[in-house]
Amino acid sequence: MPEMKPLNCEEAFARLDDFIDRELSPVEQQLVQEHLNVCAHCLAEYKFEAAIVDGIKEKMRKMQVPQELSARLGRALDSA
Amino acid sequence: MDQTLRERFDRELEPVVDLAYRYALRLTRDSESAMDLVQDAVVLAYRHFENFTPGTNFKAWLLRILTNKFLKDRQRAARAVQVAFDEVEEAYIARKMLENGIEEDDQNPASVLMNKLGVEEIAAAIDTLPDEFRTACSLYFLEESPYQEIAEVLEVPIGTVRSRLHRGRRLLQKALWELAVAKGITINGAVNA
Repeated sequence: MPEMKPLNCEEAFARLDDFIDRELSPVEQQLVQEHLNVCAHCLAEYKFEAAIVDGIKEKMRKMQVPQELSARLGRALDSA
Repeated sequence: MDQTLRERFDRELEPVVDLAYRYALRLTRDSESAMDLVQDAVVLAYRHFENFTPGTNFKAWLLRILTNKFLKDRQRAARAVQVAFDEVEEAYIARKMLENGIEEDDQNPASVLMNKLGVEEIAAAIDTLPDEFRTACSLYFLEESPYQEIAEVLEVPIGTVRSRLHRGRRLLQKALWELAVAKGITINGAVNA
């Protein structure tokens, strides 16, 4: 495989959301990881953005589901 | 419908019903309307369940029905007004923290901020997003869904999902920051403004 050109900060930053979401190709994922290994500024940015995403995910999944929903759906399906 | 079909439907529905409600809640922004939407989508799915191919993605199928029902009702009610919004710069919260002199302490300031914001505040921030960003972001944050699955639910190309998520995340950061300012939240000793 040909050696890939390392990413600069701008190129790595542009891929940060996709990197956090693991939506990059394996090669690009590797390139971003290699940049984060050597760039403290981008690493701090990555940790910052990932913490926000993780925080939102955690809170979103804690939202209460009303207890009556299940029974209500059962009744609706019974008469469907 | 026969009993076997109902049992099969119930088995498919059970693991995804909470997700369907949480997603509907973010779309409708109201618990009663969310339950109505889930009920309508579930009954619709049941009526067409014979068309569902066993072994394929029931979750994506149900959420697609739910999304379409929501968007159709919105159009019918003539409330699908396009909300104007300004483009928000990348890494909005990080920039604002820098402007406010909030520095890296022994804790990541983003984690500190997220810990200080409650479930209701996160929901309120998501509720500020226009429909096209709210649908994509809600699916993204509620589940570890790959972009491809979100694209299937929303029936849009994967590039559109990527674009909506990136822009939606920026808008969301701005909304979260404004909520934090309104609440007077302090981070690592500094006050936001």
